[in-house]
Amino acid sequence: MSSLVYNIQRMSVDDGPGLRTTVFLKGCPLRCLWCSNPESQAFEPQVLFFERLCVGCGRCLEACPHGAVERRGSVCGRVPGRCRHCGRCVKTCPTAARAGSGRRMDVEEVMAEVRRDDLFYQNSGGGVTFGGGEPTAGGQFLLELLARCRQEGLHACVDTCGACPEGLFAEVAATADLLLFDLKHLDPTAHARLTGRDNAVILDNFRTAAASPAEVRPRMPLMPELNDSEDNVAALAELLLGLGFEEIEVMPCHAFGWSKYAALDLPTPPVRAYEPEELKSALARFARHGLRTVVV
Amino acid sequence: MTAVSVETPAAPAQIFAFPAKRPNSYDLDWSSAERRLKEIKDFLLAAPQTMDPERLKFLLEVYEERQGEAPVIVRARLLERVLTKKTIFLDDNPVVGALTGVRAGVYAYPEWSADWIKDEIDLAKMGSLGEIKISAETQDLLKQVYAKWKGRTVFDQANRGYQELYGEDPKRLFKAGALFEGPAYTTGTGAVDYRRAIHEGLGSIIDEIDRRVAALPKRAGASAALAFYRAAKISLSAAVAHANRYADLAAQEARRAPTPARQAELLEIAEVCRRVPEHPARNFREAVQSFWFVHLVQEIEQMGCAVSPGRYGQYMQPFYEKDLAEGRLTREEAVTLLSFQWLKHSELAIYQGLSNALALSGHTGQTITIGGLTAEGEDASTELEEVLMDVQIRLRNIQPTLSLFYHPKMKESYLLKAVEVVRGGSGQPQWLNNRLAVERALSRFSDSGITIGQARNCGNFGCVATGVLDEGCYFAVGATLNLAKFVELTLNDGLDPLTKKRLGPQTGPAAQFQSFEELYEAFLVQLDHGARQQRRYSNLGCLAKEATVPGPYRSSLYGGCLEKGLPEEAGGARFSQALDIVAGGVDAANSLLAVRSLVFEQGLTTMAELLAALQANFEGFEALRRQCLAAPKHGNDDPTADALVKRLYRDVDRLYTAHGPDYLGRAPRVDAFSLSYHNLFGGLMGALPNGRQSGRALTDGSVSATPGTDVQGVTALIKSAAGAVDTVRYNSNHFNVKFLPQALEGPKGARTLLALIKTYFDLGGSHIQFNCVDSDVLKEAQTKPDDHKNLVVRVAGFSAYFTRLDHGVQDEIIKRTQYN
Repeated sequence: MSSLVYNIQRMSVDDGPGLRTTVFLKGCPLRCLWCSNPESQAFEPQVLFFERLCVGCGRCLEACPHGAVERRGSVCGRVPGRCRHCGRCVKTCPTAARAGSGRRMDVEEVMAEVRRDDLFYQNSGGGVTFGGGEPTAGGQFLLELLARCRQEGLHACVDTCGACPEGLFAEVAATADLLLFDLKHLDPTAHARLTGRDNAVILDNFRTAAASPAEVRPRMPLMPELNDSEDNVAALAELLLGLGFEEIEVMPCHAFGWSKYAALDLPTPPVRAYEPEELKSALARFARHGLRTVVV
Repeated sequence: MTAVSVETPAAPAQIFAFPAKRPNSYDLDWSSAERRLKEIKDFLLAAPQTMDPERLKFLLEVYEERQGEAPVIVRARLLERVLTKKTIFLDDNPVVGALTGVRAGVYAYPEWSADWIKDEIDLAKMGSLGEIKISAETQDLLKQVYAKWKGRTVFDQANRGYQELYGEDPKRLFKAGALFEGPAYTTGTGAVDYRRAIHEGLGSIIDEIDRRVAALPKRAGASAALAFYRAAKISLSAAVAHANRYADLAAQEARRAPTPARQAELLEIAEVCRRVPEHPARNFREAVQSFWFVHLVQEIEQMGCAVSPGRYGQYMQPFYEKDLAEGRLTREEAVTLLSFQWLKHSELAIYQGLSNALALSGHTGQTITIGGLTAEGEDASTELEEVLMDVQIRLRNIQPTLSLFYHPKMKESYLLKAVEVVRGGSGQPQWLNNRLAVERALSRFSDSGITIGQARNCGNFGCVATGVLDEGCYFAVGATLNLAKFVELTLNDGLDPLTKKRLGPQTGPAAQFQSFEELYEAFLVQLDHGARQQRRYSNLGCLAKEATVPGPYRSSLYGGCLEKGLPEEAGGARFSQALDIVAGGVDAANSLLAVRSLVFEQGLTTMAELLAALQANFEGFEALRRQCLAAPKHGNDDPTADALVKRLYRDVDRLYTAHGPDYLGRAPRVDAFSLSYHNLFGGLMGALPNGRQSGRALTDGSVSATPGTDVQGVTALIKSAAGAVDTVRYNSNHFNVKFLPQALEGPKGARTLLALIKTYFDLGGSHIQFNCVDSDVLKEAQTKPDDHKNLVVRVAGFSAYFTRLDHGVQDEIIKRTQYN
């Protein structure tokens, strides 16, 4: 059993307790406007091009069989629409200006990577976090990884958007130690506008998670004017407090992934970061409705 | 109840708001303390250092007057002359005693080397606090001293000996950056037995000398011991006289003090200086002053890197405890008094020529060991050590430095305090692995009958090396070997591309190597040649020091010297180590890795093309340079790359130790650290296959990653670093990591840091130091990315290299740092 992994991030400190390794599975059923890892969305390998790293050596020009590279001034630019993401240019690029995203790995390969920091987990109370894309889209692959973690006594966390068939989600919730559960908007129409899908399944799965033995931490990517309204925060508070949650982890919009949009030839997302005062008043809304916030 | 607060200190703003004087507190004018501390610190940061000519004058006089006497006696007479005749003064610091006759003064020590006087007299001189001023009078004296000492200095003797014995001018090796001329410079040698000096007084040591002289059989061969005892007594008596001069001066100034408060303070200073260091200190105030005199006189005798105060927070704890209990001192007052002492340490500085300045960056290595174990194996840390950490948080001084000897029995509150110091950004404390320091001591001195209790009394000497405190000194040492240079020689058939001289054997044109193993074998031949040169030169240097500049004062304070009747330079101290240093190891390994990967494994280039690129300093070979940079590197938890790093360091150890016992007749051991050797050596080398361009600094530390080349994150870096050298056989590994304080935020950040340290030590790491940076450094990193390649920042939950982020993201992080 294998799946596409686009990144394995060691020493993650905000995806669960202690020092962790986060395994990012490629592919996601949602298309959030603000997605900070646009290369995580597609279920196929992709080639990213970082123009500022290109020295114009021309090796990719020779390697590309699809005419997707052309000399443009001092760099080897991308010909729009031609790249088939075959990755031949990536192998020849000396500067990592052309970088591949998505490596097929089997369960054992992933576990071998995860085990490399075992002593750090032991000494910090950490473990492994599966993120994405959407890790539950990995289906059996994720379940097998979780089962392996349980077998080896490794603390396992799943960072999910909740958009997942209900039966599968119940199995995930039953096997993971911790679920970081993203809630983006409580209104189905607004949710569909922001992420491409409504939130019916997501909210069902959140209730399943809350009833499961796994620890659950609700999270919210907070976007100025998109999901921080009084109404949405009130609805969120009603749901959470009703299920016994008094705290939510909030991730204010940041621009850290924007360069990757350019690298994939995609337009920059139509969202912006908070001004400090604006963020303060957004957080005050949560407090007014009885929710503690932890900014991560 | 009038319990003394031993909890966390109050906020700095309140520390110095002292209430009315308590009846039995010291006569120190606490109310003006904060202002005075600030003025002294501002002065040190702004004032130019001045080279004080007095020592040069005394040097000329004493060597003239004492012609024909035993060198150890002449050295004692010189120290005596300096201590009893130099100009002394009081500034606003209640801890008294300065290195020279002027504030922020430096001495020259031309007995070690006088070459720089001739070669660099018109160049600007940079010391630890900035440029050093040399007056016309001093210039003139320097020239007179040069005329007297040229050809007779330690450096000259070692060079002449080497030339005569081995038929080669060793200066060629120094000019090419293959070796550093260690014997040309003064040096500290570790931590003397401060506990005894302060608790029993120098008078008790003088008494011991008298007893030993009386008991010594007056037979053939006894003259050396007799001379040493006599020299030690002269030196110790001069140290007592030195303190009494300050007592006289304080009493005199008290008579015309501007305020009653200052008058009382001066009278107390006079009383304290009359008492210590001759007699046992009776309270914390006396103990601080006694410590300072004992320490200062070592620096006056031979101001050099690594005069280390040892376990200060432990031998001073009884005085501190007693003062607290008897209401003489509060914790806040202790912070103040220690802050005054700390500024004294900062004022000490040295100048001995450009090469030394480049290699040491003015570092004085006054390292205090904190933590560790007691002789019985219990946690030795003290409350006073937490006070020392508060002083560091407050002052952010660069001297003295704190070295925390970590072990699993340490209190959580103590460790969290240490993390707070790390967050302060001064790179302190550095963390050392206590388990390894004990193992080292046991393995080095098992044949000398060391007990586990003695081995547990380990500590830090100078920068990152460890040894036994109180009775062990560190011969630091001969010539430092630049490992990267031997890769350069291997690629050039033994010829130095910089000086065009033949420095190594002919191992064949590199373009003809058919495999990586052939290249590596040639490297070993070059390295073996270098290791032999290093051992030979170091031994001659140590012999020249022993013959010319033995230090009777500091020797008398090391356990073992009086017993054996030998100065420490002759191996008097009980658990001495003679270690040679190697630097540039990571650049050597990364260069070999790049050649193996690009030429022999991937075939991406040929050796001929690579050599051409190196010769051209990569100009016109940018794509190849990028490939060199992208080749496997140390610091990524890459088993194949790490195996070569380990192999290289094992081979260095094997080749070095193959050349017979060390200077002290023990099994030889190597040390691996950089001080600023990487800076000096880098300036003397051409381009390297690791992608480094000509003249740029080499990688710092001995197991740090080359900036920007560890791309798997800090856990991977820690694993590679911990495994690079055998940290029991090597006397140190040296590992620097840069962090933003924000990455250590809150209790969770503190625990993250402690987990990283513990894991590194579990895996065998010996030394780790975290440098925290602020938003100004980040802004500089934006404009000079090459100087800040290894700057790690936390981005959205994980860590990333700052300079590789987009400019916009960098701006975001700078903003975030400023908010925090």
